[in-house]
Amino acid sequence: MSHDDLTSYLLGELSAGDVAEYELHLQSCDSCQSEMRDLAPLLEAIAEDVAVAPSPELRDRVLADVATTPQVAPMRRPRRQWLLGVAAALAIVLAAGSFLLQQDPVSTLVAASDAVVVQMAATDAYVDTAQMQAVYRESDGAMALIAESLEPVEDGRTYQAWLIGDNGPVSAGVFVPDEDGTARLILDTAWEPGSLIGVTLEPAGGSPQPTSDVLFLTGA
Amino acid sequence: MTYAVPYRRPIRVWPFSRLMAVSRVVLAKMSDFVTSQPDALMAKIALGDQRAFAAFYDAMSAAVFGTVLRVLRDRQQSEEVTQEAFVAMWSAAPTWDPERGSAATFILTIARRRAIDRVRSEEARKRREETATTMDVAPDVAHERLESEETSSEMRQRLLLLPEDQRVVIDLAFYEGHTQQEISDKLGVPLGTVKSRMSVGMSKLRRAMEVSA
Repeated sequence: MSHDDLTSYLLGELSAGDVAEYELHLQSCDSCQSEMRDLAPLLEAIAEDVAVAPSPELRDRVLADVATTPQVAPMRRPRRQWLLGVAAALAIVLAAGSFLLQQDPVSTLVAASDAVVVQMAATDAYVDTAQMQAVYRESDGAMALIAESLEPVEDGRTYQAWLIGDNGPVSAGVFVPDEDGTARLILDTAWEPGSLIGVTLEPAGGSPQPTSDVLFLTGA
Repeated sequence: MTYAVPYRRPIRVWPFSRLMAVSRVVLAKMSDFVTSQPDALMAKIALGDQRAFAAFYDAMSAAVFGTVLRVLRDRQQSEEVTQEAFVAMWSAAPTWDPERGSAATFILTIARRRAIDRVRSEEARKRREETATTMDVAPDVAHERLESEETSSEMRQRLLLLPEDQRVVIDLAFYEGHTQQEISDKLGVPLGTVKSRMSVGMSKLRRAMEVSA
């Protein structure tokens, strides 16, 4: 995901998976954010220009729907400058369109109609800014991790993901971010309802059990 | 080098509920300031305020419906998509972040995305049904009428000042409701070219708004 995708995003042309990814990028890209804020008045002015009043009955239908539609759990993402050890979870069930572009496994998973995207928060053991999301699919438990702006690891070290359930942490895979701090991987453990997903820093190759403090964590 | 330190402490329980309470209060205070602005309304909607949602709907429904209508060109379908988009926005309101764009942009982007998804799935359905026949979309009379009505709007005037190639892509995307891929096919220019013309044109138009404001 890059800067060039802003226009496609604003024009509503990205697929559900790409939208999730772009929004993740947006959280950590100041120039995209400021460009987005800059273009907002233009989009609004054009929309006003093409405005057509819908039927009054539509208002009743929408308000009736809203009265019975639950909202996703209201969560505040921790501010980037404000790395409190808050585990914030944000679950968005992505409605996938009836078409799916040919995508890599992570994007395909994100775009699945029963995919749940969970925001992971940096704990106070992680000192810098980064964005991380876990994705899991309810139907078969497939899990993925998407991270941006992650600190590089020293030689001989690796990040390791853990599924933390009733029986303690189980390794879900090791990963090293690329030069941009980006990491995208399918995890090799199946999701279990009620579990947490955490990330620690481990010796290369990973550990059988976590040996460092948890750096990123989902909240339930 | 003592990597084998045993896992000794359980996951900390973060004081999440307290933080939530604080942020709710902050949001509620913020929204008391200006109650009619979409952004302020959205802060209330994020807390489940249905009256704020109704006010937001009243402020935005024509812009949203009009945007969707440009893409779908069918009132019935456009109303369905407008309804879906507002309900999706209600549902996702707690995740809305002002730093990621205005509340108006949020609903407009959701609506346009859903309209385009609908066109794409409709096209896929038609392709499946009539694999052999070539498809021709009937010209839409209502759409042409809409267009003649707006020729004198301020935005149309500004649009006329843009270089031809940039004006055309913006016109096709926003006023004709086409995707950049469709525009690329229609004009026979590469998608990348359409995207860069769009991006340059949009920022020129944005600057023009500042000048005339």
